[in-house]
Amino acid sequence: MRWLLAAGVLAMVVTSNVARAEEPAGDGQEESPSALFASANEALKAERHGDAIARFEALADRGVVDAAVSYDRGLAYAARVRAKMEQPGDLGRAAHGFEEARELTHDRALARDATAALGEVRAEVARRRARGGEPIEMDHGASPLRAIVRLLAEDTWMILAGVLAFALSVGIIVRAVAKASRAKVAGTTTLSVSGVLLLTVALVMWAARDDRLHLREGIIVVPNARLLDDRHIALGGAPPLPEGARVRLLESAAEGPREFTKIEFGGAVGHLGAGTVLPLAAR
Amino acid sequence: MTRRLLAFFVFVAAALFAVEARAENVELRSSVDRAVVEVGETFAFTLQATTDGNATFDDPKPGPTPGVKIDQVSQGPVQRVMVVNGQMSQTRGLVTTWTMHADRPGTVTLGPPSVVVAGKRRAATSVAVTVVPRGQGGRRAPDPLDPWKGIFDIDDRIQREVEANVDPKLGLDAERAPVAFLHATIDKTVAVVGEQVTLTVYLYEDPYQHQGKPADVHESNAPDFLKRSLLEDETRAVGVGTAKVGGRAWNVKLVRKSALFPLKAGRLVIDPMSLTLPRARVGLRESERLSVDVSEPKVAGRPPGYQLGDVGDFALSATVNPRTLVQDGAVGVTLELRGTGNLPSKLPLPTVPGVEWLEPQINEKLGGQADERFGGTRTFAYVVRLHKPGTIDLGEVRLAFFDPSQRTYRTATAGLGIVQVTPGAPAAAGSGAKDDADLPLRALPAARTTMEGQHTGSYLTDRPGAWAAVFGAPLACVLGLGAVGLVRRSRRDRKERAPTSDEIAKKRVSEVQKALKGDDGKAAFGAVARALDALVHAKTTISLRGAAGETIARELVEKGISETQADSIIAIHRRCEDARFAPHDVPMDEARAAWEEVRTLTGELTELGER
Repeated sequence: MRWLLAAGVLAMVVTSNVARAEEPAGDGQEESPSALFASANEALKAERHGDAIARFEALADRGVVDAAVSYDRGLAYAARVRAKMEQPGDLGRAAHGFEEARELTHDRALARDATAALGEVRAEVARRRARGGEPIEMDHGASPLRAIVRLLAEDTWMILAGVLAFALSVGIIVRAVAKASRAKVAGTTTLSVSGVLLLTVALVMWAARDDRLHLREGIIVVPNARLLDDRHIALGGAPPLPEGARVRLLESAAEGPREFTKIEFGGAVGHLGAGTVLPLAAR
Repeated sequence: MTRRLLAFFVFVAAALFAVEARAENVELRSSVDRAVVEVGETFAFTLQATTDGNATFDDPKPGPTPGVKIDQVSQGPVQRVMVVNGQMSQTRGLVTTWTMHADRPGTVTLGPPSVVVAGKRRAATSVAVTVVPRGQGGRRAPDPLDPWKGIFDIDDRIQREVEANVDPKLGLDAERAPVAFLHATIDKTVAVVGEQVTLTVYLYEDPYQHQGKPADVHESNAPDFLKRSLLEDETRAVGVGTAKVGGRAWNVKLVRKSALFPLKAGRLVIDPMSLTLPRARVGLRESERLSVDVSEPKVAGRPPGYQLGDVGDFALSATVNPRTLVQDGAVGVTLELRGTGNLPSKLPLPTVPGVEWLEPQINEKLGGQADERFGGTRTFAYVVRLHKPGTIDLGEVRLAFFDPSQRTYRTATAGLGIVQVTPGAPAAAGSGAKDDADLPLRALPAARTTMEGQHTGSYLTDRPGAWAAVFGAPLACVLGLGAVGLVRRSRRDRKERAPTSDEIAKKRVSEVQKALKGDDGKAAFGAVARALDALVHAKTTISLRGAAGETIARELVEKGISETQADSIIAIHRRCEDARFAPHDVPMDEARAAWEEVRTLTGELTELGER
């Protein structure tokens, strides 16, 4: 019986070890995005991380922009790190997938999970930087205006502005029409408060729209990237940028045949190699 | 006497001249080695200065050489000793040769060349040279005094040999420079990222010229390409044949042949290669600046795991040894990648739990292959540690690449097979817990199995109507309330202001019509009087009441009413006033008659009042 088993194993080894001639990719029919996504998930589940990553990246190559794809892609990279088969840049690419999922999703549960996973990745990067004696600050946070803008969704700001506009209109009418002094005071108060708030919300709303249309951000996908000056020489005294950090793209390499991308991170402006930063997909 | 004196002077002068000529006896001779030259062909212009005396020669100059460039100058002394009939004579001199070439056809007059002889500059004669276009120089006429009769006519022999081996592929319409030049070509001007572009640089040499060994060689710079030589030895140029260039035969040498692999998309530039030929002294020779339009391979059909730049024709094979091992032991996995194109320096490895791939040792044997392709084999030797016991399937290595000849993607695969891992010694207590604690990213959430789908990118802030509603509603309220206030105010103002003369007249006329319907004659006269007053006032702004008759009449006339009409108006007004204040009753008929009279007299005013 043992002899039979050994023979069977040997036969399998021999047949599988024979170098197969190169084969055409696919049988001429391209896998649909959903099929590719399903196969990528299967690979992820079977802990074939490299295969899963290749399939998720193939989806991205095809221009599929989907929160779940970005999230699972981030998970595939993170899983490879967890499996101790990490390749340089895996943590940054994992962070990129989670950040992108947070940006794209309309599903609160997915946003929550992506945030949690992103926290894990950033914590791992911070832990490694701490071991290396480097600053562990991962995120300098957004500017006050941008922080306010991101409190609510863009449409929510618009709805709030509509409510305030209605209140302002009522205040104006009451103040103009009412005879009783109490009603006039109420009208004046409503008018003043809602007017100021409407202007503020309109400003925020405009900023939110401007962010959506013009703000381009990316994730650093290289460990310890160094900012370069205009001559593309490393900036003296500037600490290396943490892998997985979110940066603002000022001039993207995609805008032309450039080899460098101009970025801003924590108030510092400089250039990075084009492959160092991976832009986040816009909604 | 005079004749004798003249003869004496002639004799003295002749004697002096003879002495000086004998003392100097300087001979200057200028010449060229051929009278007809081709454009770019070098020729020699020689000044030979000799003397049998002691004169010295200094500072030779060629004189004007229009349209001709001097490449080289050489000079040297000559000395000749002759013994004739036991008498020795000695000649010394200086020979200066200017090697030059002409850049355009035509007739060129060289010189006269000159030299300083005993402190005095003396000139030889000018020499004419005819410059003809390339290939029209014809065979040089044999020198009738040449005893060898062209046996050593090297130029003819070169020409015959060169023309016998002309390769039409290397032919050019015109030479890029005289004597020698570089010519660069690429096999394609459109490629995808990673596809081989073959750059070839030739050195064209004029067989009539001596170029010497190239020096100061600068390679063509191509920073956007990965450059690999297809030649085994780049230190020497290899003759590849001859070519017709502008109708003439040139020798062609292969200087460089390189495989260039584009690293990115866009119009990528290949800078020229340059060198100098010190012996020919013709300056820098540069090849052409070339460009290639590079794009990414098509996205359609791109297999998962494809890395941009993996372009060529590859095959993979694998060996795994040993197949059985103890847990935490290692096996050797050797992957051999062979083929042509841009062989990747890294392979996508299968990730299997419990299998750890260490950094590989890479050996390669790459170079030029058949059909000017770059390729060979690259071997990756891995040490793979297996940490889990049991039958472990190592999976397979799959390398996706783009085949430029088929314009399609293909995948090279090599199965790694199964290894048997027997359990090793149990781990020390607590070490497993420690490993788990060190495990990064332990708390990752679950994956999503369904795609979320595309969301319509519609935002309220993108709709002008939404902005109009937000700001328009309060503004509309303000405007509406303002409009209402304006209407109210205008009504109030209209109510508060004094009636106009027309309005009063209209009112008075209606009062008359009302009074005439009653039976009070005085009241009717009073109404007629007031109406007349109002109508006249509306027409002339003159009030009939309280004014003297003559004054009123004059004022009415001044306002454009005829005197007759004015008098009648005043008369009717007085009559109405009289009747109004009469002590007795006044018949209504009189009042009606008075009103009719008023209407007749003041037709326009009455018409105004009735309107």
